[in-house]
Amino acid sequence: MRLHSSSTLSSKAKSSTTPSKPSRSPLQTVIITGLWTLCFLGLFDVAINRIFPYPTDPLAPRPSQLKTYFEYGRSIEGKLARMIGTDDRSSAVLAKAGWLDPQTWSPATLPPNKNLLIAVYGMSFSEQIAEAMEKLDPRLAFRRINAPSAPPNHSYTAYKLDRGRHSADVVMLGILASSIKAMPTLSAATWQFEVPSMYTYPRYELENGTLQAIEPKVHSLAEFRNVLHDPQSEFVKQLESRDRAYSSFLFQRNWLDQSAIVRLVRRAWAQRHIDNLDNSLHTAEGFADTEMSILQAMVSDFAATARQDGKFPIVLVFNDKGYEDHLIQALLPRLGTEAIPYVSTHAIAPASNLSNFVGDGHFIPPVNDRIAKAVLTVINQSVPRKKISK
Amino acid sequence: MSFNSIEFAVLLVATYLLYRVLSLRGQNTLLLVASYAFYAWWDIRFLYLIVFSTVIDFACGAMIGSGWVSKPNRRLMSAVLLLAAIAFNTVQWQAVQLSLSPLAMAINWAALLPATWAGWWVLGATVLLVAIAPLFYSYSVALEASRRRTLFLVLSIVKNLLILGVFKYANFFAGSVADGFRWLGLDADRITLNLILPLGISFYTFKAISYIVDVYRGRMQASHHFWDFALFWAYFPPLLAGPIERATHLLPQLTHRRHLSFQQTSEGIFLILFGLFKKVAIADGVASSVNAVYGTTGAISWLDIVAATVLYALQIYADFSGYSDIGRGVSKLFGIELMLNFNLPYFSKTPSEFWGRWHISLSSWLRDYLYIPLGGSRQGVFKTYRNLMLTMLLGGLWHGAAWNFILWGGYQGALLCGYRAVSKIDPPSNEAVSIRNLLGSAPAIALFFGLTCYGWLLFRATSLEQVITFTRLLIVDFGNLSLSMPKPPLSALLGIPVWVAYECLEYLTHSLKLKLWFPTPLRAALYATLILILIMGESNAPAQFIYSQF
Repeated sequence: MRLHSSSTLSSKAKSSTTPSKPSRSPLQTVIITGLWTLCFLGLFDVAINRIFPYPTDPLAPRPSQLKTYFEYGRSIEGKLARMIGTDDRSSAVLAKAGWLDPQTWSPATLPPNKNLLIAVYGMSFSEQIAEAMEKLDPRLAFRRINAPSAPPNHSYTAYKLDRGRHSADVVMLGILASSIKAMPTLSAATWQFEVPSMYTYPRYELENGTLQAIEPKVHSLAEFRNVLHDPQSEFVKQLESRDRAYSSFLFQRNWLDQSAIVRLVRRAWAQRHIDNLDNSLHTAEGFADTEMSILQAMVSDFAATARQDGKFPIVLVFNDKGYEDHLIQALLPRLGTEAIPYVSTHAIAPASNLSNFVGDGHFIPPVNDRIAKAVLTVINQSVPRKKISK
Repeated sequence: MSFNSIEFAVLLVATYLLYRVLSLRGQNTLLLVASYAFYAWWDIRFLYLIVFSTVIDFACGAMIGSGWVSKPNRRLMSAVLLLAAIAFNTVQWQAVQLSLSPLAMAINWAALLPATWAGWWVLGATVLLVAIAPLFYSYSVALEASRRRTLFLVLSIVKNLLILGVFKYANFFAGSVADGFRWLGLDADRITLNLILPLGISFYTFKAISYIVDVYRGRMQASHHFWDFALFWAYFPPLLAGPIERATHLLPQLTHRRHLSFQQTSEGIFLILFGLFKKVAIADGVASSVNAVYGTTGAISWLDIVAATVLYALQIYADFSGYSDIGRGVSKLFGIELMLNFNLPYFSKTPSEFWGRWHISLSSWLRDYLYIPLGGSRQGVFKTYRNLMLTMLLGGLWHGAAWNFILWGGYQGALLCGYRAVSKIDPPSNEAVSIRNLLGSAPAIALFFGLTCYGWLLFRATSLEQVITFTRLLIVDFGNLSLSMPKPPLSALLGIPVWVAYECLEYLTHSLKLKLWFPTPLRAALYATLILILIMGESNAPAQFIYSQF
């Protein structure tokens, strides 16, 4: 073994690299180097904005990954303003997604050539399962009520609003582990910082074992459009006081949005902010009891009311990456004691196996097929099919 | 407190500003308070461990070096030890709730002191130690010099190794025994321990041992100034993850007035920036990709393992050298030089060259306090190989109490022996290099980098089963180019080429202060690039420094 001594290395490095004596004073050197550095940072800022401009048209096709990357840090208002046109038709698809409006949900009755109507309340994960089930059994019909990364509050509220408006025999409630952090929020605008949606939903609290809803002040895109540029609006005030993901630095639009570097700083800040929220609700051991008590109450109410209405309830538990089997572990006692039918993805595709997921975090198609088969098995065991009307 | 946290930035700025206006004594006191605050931020209870070790090592050093400890120092040590036991261990600080906004403090008086007798044992043991210390002192000063020197050398080393052993290795050995019991079908629950590993324990233990041994060997005078010695022991920039400073290098700097030069300050700021860039943009950036492969329970391909292991090689280097750079940079701001810990290790062509470039403070420590005392290479071929294997196995064990670290140490020892057997003489590592030279030696560098990466696979693996599975896949799945590993973020994708290019230039110019040769605009462009990528990297999930857990 031949090892260098530190002094040898240091002295060699020193002797071979001693720069020529500076002609400027230290203060001058600092100022000049600092100014040059600022110039370069300014240059980078301008260059990023010029090379990766983000389209301002709400209906523009999705821009390249790099253009999107440098826009992640724009204020939430700034991003939302770009998505909202003067009316709904000229607004981006994402702006219109997820609003709790039962008038737009369909079908309400079993379509011809189908033998079972299933109402699904959830997010893209549950949407993909519905698609996979439809491929496996084309005689199924789905009433899909989804929102991007919908938290349980949204799915549960959608289910409640939808009661009595359809003739589905099966109702499915999708719960996504990574969306649990949104339970103490009122809108997808605050916690989905990088790609915010606008839809709103109530926040739930437990009072003496009963769920109490805090209704958002805004219920539609039209209402949102009205309050967007008003920092004094009741909605923004409500977010400030009742939405745990809200931060004025992240939300409010100002001139700093023009700087690419400030946007990068804001993105980093947002990451920490949302991580802090997530860490307060989820640790390596599992989910916090407070939110889980609320979620369990939602699940109980969902199953009880569905049975009351003569429907067959199923809870779809999506344990996605980073959450292991924590969600199903937290729900299992309640699902077991109340004999609520459920399908947990952990038993089919564990979250710790990265080959179960595609890059954006969704399950790969074969996993969706396996989950769909499991759901179909549960349905086929308990729900008789209707005769197909032609 | 981590170097990449807001709290540390506040501590550093406040300490630096105060430091500039204080005298030497004031500066040392300030640095000691800052160091204790730095460590206590993680867990105040373990500050007692640092104070306890400081007192024992100070006393042992003085008894070895001069055979006496002055009366004021003895009183001071007793008082410090008792106060530390009360303040850091007996008082239950979780009973004090501090709020910054609005500023308020609430104390739960009922929970301020331990509720059970078990909570008082540290204070009891300390009182006992302070009570018997005068008797032991009277006994030891009367001893013959060589016996006294040996006694205190053994006492200090045993104390240091015992603390290290209890906190670092007890869990591992208890776990291994428990596994054996379970394998035999016996109840093993009572054997399991759950001790918290004090941050940086391996680093400060080795630093303390080097002081005692150097005093014993007569390489340095024992310190007789308790507070300077306490600062040497707890000095915060290298406290958690090195470099493992030698007392011969650090103590004299702490006892003399420091001159803060402009060049030192500017180098310090650059090192902090460069270290943060490596840690935040690169190490934290690639961590999620590496963790996804090494943490998966499902099927992975040959390319997944290769890509994740190469990224881990970059991650651990960026993380560890990033810490060293920040530590050296922070220390330079206070006019105190720390030793170089990394010198372009991935340009090594042989294992001996690698160990001259990687974690230099540990490899030189192992050389001076283990390999050479074992006989080094002076006692024939067989003993040389034995000494190399022993040194590297213990080097592996130093990293952590797990079988994969021992395996990694054994692998490094085998590489050293193998290369030694094949080449007989190591090529000079600091030879002048040119692009032609670099291209000529590229195959040797690439081959050794591959071998190093396999070592990192052993190091990173989460279990022996994973080592076997990954090794088998590397052979039987060779050439499977399907990739399920998530792509690293943009900060890492941009940061790695910038870093590699900078290191290539450093290697070619044989200069670790390359930027000083750049004209101002080019230097500013480098700073701006590092700042931009660092800001991009701030979105990466922050992780603890890997080596601070050792």
